[in-house]
Amino acid sequence: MADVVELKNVSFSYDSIPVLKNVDFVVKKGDLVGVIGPNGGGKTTLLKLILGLLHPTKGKVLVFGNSPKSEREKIGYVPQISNFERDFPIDVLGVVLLGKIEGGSAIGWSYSKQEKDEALKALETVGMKRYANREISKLSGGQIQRVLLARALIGKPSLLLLDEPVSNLDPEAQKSFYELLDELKQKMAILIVTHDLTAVTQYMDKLACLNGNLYYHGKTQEGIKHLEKTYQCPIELIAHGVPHRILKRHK
Amino acid sequence: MFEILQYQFMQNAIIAAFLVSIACGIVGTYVVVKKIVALSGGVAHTAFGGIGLGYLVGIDPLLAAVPWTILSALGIGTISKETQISEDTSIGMFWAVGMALGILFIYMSSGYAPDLFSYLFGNILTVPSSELLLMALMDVVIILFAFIFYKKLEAVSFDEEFAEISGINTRYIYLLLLCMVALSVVVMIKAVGIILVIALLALPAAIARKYSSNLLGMMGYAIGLSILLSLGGLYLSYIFDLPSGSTIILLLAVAFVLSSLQQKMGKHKRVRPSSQK
Repeated sequence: MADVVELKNVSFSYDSIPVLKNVDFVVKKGDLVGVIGPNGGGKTTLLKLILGLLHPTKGKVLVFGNSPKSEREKIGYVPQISNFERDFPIDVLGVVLLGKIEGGSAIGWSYSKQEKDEALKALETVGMKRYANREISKLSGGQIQRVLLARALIGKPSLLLLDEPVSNLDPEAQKSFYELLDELKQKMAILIVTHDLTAVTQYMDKLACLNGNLYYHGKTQEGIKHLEKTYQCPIELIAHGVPHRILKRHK
Repeated sequence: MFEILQYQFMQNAIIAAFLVSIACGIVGTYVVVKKIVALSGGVAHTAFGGIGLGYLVGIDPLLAAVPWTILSALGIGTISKETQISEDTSIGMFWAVGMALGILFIYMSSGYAPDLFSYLFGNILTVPSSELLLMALMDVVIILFAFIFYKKLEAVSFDEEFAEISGINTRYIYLLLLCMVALSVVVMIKAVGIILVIALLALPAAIARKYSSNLLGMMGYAIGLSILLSLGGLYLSYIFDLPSGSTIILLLAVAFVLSSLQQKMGKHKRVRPSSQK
């Protein structure tokens, strides 16, 4: 069976400025992979390549063994909250239902009962069912993030991509968000782009350190020591439940 | 006052107010939520080139403005999405070039354009029945587009990136929206004029946003408000003998300010629901 995601020797440049160089990268079924790296390190570019929104300058991107575009239905995507207009007149159920429109023939404004039931089920999964009729402008950041997750889940994806999903959340909301992802990974491979190093160590099975090149790709525990090379600066890492620094500063 | 209703021009003006309101309520909603007010202003001004062309070739200027404005809207949209030129710059260019061509065309056609002023600033009391028919036709097209593409327009307006990932051709939907803007501009020209169109497109929808929580509701409110305010403006302009276009726009502005104030006052009293888990 083909891997969920496979990047073979992929390079990408924006207007001849290289962003990714010779990246080999694999996501397998049941993986919960964290992609970390500094700003401009190519994290979002990696996601866009997997989504098929960008095409590699060199190399090959395969999703379930095919071109990303042909497998889009199997991909669920949760963007950064900052990417859209929060003041938009739409309620929670409406946002989730937008995950149901594919390129197809959806005409008019009404949705079938079945579609609504699926949306409510997705909201139940993320614990937001009771807010179904609330306008999104009245939700907190953590709640919006869950709604966006539900929107991605309604299409029953086999691969879930998240772009810095917790960057605006308080620690409590972050924790419950990651616990939710931990449950979801039974059903789908999950790839998270994040700056949140503590969460990476606690929740992710695998780690990819990206800064133009892929510095490390493998089990989280061994990957931690590559962090400083990735960020090219000293990293202090504090894990949940460990009241002291677990990594010494080293040169 | 009811005796004025038996005049043909007044009946036409009232029908025009309804037709204009349908266009600006539906399209204005998208213009406001997608934040393309400035772009729509640009499209409106390019329409003047089409009006001039109408004078030059000797057909109804409003009819000539239809294809002209659609092409301009597609031009602005394509240039700002496909090239390095920013949307801002392409709006400015089309805006001025459209106006310049309009003046040039009118000059070339002997320079005499008796109702030029009504195209620029509107005169809802001078809409002939033939133009009402054209306006109604365009309303039908707008309603059809809005119905058929409702979900896609909503998806693209809300979150363009996600819409694209969902397999929606977002470029195509965006250009469709700009065509709807172009059509609505043509519908509104006779009521408030090219220069004032943008207020009619933006203000009723902006007021409606405060009282509705979904696009459909917002369209309904905007249409209702626009009917009320344009008929109100028409009435005021009639009894005080003022230019109808300006009166309608000023009435809209007053309503917008009042609704903003009312909302601001209301906010202090409203208790925010405590955020629970």
